[in-house]
Amino acid sequence: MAVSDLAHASKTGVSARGGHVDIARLSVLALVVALSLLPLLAGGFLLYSLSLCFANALAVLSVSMLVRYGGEVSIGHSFFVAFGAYAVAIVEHRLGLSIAASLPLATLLGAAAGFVFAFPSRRLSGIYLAVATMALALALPEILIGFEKFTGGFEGLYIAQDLIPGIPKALQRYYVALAVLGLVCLALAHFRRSAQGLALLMAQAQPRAAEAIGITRSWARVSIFTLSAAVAALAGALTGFASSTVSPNSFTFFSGVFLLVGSVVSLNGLSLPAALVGGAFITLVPTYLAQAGDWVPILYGVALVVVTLVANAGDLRRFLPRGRGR
Amino acid sequence: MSVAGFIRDILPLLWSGLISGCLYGVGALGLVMVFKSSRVVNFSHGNLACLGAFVVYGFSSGSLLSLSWGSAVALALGIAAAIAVMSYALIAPIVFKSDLASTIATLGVGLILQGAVQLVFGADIVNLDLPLPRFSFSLGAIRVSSYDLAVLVVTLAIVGGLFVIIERTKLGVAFRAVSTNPFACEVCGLNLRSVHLFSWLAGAVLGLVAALLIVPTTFLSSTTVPSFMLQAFTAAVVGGFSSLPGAAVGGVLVGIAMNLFSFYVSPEFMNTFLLGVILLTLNFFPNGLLERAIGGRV
Amino acid sequence: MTVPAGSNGLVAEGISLAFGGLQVLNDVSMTLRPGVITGLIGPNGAGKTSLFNCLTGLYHGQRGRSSFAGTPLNGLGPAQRAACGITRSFQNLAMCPDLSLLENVLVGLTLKRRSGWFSAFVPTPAQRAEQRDAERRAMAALNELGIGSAAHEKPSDLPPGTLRLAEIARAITSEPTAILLDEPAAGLNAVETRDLTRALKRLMRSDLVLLVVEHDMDLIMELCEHIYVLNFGSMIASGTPAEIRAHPDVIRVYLGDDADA
Repeated sequence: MAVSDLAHASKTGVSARGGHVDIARLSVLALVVALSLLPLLAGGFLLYSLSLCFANALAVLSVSMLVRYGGEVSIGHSFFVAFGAYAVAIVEHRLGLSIAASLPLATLLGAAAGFVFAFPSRRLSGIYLAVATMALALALPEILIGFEKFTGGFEGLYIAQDLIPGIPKALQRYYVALAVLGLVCLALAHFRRSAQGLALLMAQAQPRAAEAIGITRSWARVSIFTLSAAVAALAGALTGFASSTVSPNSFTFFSGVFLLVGSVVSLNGLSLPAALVGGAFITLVPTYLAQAGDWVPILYGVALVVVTLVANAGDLRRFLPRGRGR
Repeated sequence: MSVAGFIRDILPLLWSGLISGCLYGVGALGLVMVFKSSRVVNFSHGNLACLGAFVVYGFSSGSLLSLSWGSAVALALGIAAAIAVMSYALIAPIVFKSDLASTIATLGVGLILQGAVQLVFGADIVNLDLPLPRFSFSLGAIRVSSYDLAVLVVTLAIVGGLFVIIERTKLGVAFRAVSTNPFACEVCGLNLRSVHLFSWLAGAVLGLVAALLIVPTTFLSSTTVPSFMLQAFTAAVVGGFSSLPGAAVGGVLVGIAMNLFSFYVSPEFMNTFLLGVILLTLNFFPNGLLERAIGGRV
Repeated sequence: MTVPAGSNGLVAEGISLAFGGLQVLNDVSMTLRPGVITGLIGPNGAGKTSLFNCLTGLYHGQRGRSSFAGTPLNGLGPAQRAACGITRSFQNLAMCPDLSLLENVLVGLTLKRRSGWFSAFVPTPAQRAEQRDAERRAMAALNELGIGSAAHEKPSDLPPGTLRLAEIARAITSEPTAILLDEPAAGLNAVETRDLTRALKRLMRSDLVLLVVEHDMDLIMELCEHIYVLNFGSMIASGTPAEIRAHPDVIRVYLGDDADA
């Protein structure tokens, strides 16, 4: 049932773009169908990796939202991801509730944390925010370890409760992560056409003109960061659920940088395929290149530099034959 | 806590805060120079300094070569300078187009340098001392060591040297002009690229010097130096991010504040404390703590 | 529609503005009455844009007062003045490249739209109705300026004349009580300028304050009923087009300018 809903809704989700997206719409639909049927064929480890992939894709999406709608860079979104993951774990340990309750709660708390964080730099250029997110990423490990009473310190916490008892755990993780990711993509497609979405895009592209319409920069900055942090916390909640455990090992300084890598590699796209590319890049590369551990940062660094240069070197396209530039 | 105890504690705390603060300031100066001239926040600053420190270690300890400390430092300076030039060359095509894209590219460079350190030197934790005669003496309640004096001398020499370059040389005049109005400078025929290159080179040297001086107080690993740079970033924010004197003074303030926080509150939440300092500064003193005292745009 | 008593449009009194030691505006006063198209002219560097920015709240003069329909404006920024019903256009085209022309105009309705954050993500019947209504209003504004056919194009595919009209459409779609246009004819060819003049005359209403800042004398003379002339930061003349044409100071300033050029 969830599958057909998704498929139907994704049709209306992209239809505003006009007729030429029919093929794009169909291929997204095919992708959703394929992913929904995959558990019939695939085994445990692949399903587990893909569940993490979906959760990471959502985290990548939260960073891309910030870039697209806010023109801001964050290297500390791992903080909000961890926030969501630990919220799920702590709610289970203290209150005995499953993610049915903790998923919405984690999202709301993530939004609140994002608001508190973005508020101080609301009037400053995005570079200050980037520096502040670096501090956020570096502060995260010591907060997780320092508040041992809640977070379980180095050991972390387990997340054991099922969403729907009786269904195999691997399937639950897989379908919950896929469904949430799909729904967020649909919500973002709707957001692009909403009054708030248009206002944020305007504030980013033409801040002074937006101001003259009544859209203040500080409103835009704080709003998009709050939304993005909420999505990051939701992604964290899924990560916790999909991996059944939270510990400081999963949230080092580099996790935040890697999320940005995923976002850049997916060209900051907000569609389901783009998010999946970003999520897969940061999930599968370390898994399958585990023996080449030290090459991973180098590979990510090269990806970051190359994609950024290519994406921003629009002027170079003029010199190429049959370029799209005018 | 008694008043006498407080006085006994506070002077050594302030002194050691001043010493480490000098180094944060030197690190911050490198960041601010790059930012002032090219509007890029250089996130590879710490990784480059870390690589340089490891090169000194590798060339002087015998793990790669057994050179003297001095020649190892000279080599490391050369390598750091070469990498700084290369990283600037990488982002040069987009540096005028987008602050944020260039900033992201510096993160990529930082990741590459980080991976290079891990590849060559592994995840080892090593000691890297300065070749200094060991002595110390008391000055009232304060104990002054040869290390403290070395830090003070080097910091003063660097700040003085930088001041002379920026105030007295042609390059310095160009640097000041570029950081005030890049467009007008280009119109007037000043070469922006050479000014950018100068500031990136100076940034690399400052970062390496700060790293070499801070390492003896802890140890050297692939993560200590990059995270030490958070102190430098905080110092730069406290100083307003585009003020050279602000960065130096900001460094000292951050050094002292960290020492006090670690002694009186908790040594385990230093980065969280710095996060708080950054957020409070951005909220209440967006142009830096010293805006009124010395002007945020110096 | 009649103007309520006591409301005397947008008034600026004794505005002085200096950047550092440079005096840009010197004790400038002007009254923009509803129902009258007012023009502001002056040679380059006379302070037109500075005065304009003081009216829109981008700059704040060191001295002087401004008020709108009797409400003091001092200290209010651009967004707050927008909330008072004052909108403006920009000399450099200020279109968002990611949005279609219609969406660029829709943004002008932001302050009037009532759908909340929840319905920004989840479609609801009320939100859909509100969206349709907003799109209808934006489309009406585009049609009023005669560029409805370009509604779904991207700004990068359209000529500057259309974009200029679209900016005006964005300014009028929220039904503001004051519209301030900064050099609306800059970069337009003769045909586009004529279309613009017609469009502006058509949208004039008795309760609307409309200010046009231009250096194109012909456009101002044809369009405006009341004209202010600024030179070296001071107001040197004001009056009807005929009075301005005959004013000796204005002739000196403009002929002098022409002679140099």
